[in-house]
Amino acid sequence: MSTKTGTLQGVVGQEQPLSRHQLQIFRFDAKALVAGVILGVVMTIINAGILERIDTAMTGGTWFPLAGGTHSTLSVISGLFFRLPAGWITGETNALFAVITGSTPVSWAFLINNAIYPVIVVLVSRVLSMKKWYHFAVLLAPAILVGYAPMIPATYSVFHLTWGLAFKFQLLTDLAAFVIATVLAYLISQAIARSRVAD
Amino acid sequence: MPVLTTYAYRDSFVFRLDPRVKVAWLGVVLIASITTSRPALLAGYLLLILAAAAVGGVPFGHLWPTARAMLSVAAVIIFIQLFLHPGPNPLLQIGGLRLYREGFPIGLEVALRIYCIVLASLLTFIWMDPTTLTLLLMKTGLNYRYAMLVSLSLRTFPLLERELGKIYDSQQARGMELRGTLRKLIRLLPVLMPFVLRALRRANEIAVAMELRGFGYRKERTWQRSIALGSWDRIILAILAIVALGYLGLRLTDPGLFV
Repeated sequence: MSTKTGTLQGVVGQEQPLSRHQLQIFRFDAKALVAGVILGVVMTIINAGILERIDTAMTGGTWFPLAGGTHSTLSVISGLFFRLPAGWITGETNALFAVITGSTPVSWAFLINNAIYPVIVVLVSRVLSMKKWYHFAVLLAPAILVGYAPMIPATYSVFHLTWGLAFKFQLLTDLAAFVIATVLAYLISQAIARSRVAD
Repeated sequence: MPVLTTYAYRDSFVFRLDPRVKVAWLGVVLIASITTSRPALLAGYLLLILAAAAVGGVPFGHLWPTARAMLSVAAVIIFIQLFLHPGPNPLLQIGGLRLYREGFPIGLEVALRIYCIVLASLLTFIWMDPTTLTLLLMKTGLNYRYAMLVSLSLRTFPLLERELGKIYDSQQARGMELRGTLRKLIRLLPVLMPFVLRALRRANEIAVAMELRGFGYRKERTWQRSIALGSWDRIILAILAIVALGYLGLRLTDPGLFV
């Protein structure tokens, strides 16, 4: 049996995807599972250690301009290279640690956010090569809008805000996360693909 | 400052308890904290959590970094509530911004509830051996391939924190100024990029090591240790069940006590 290497069968004649697992939805090998966990820990260390603290000190945890950016960046990397369930594992690892480190008052809502977000990343990244920066913008727009939506009732209930204010705060988070993650996710994904560390 | 205080065994009665007892304790504390709105009661729960930490052999110094980091969070939460809940008693007016006394009890309630939830969760994870946590998850029917990922995350957390420290040191040795939170924020990319790449290389090494040891080869695997409820575990579970039922009964029959 011959094995074709270098070109993915599903996209012959088209632009090759950034990750060679990009056409799959699920990946159950040990490397994907472990990478999912490790990326979740990386996300927690960066967010809980630095960014969520700054966000919470600035906004009281009502919106997350900085942590949203790195959360989206690492969720996209996990979903793009390691697919599901690694994307879920990354998000839920982060949610678990966010609760026990007390990095933000609404960390329990991350459990719901992070279950939805990777599904959108995995599905959208199947139809894009992810080699151009604007592919990341196209991927992140629905992922952030839908994936972060559960934060609205969470901030509403935890902070006793009005619905209007909860929506506005969420839109600000979405906007900041979109801008930061488009740049960071593009640069880091290209570096990962070049280094072949995720193959 | 480390982000997370992880498990470190101490010869104490609480550390020897079955993980199910610790999870049940966390469940009772969470239910009580979430369904209580009276700040005085929430402060009482917080004192009980600190007492449980002392009894369980966890010095307050282990909880203090998290508690201190949350002080600024609590302050901002209270400030927001002073601003968001207008009433007849203004507290302070700065230009067009007016703060009201009516928001204070709400802010205090939210801040105390968050303290209870976070410190109880943190304490449970300080008490819980990652291996017993994996065994507990397997008891719930979760496949060992996924159950052991939780303990993997707890074990790799301090390693990756040290790795980040090394990256900071190397970048500073190259002349990058990284002292202070704002500088770390501005220079996030030169730190995040090598951190992610090194973390993925580590993931690769761990996965290869696990596969060489037969991870995922069989549907079932054996463990050196097992968890079983002892007599003390049963007694404490029964006490927790009585406390939870008593609380829920009071909460339903006389809600005014808690709101």
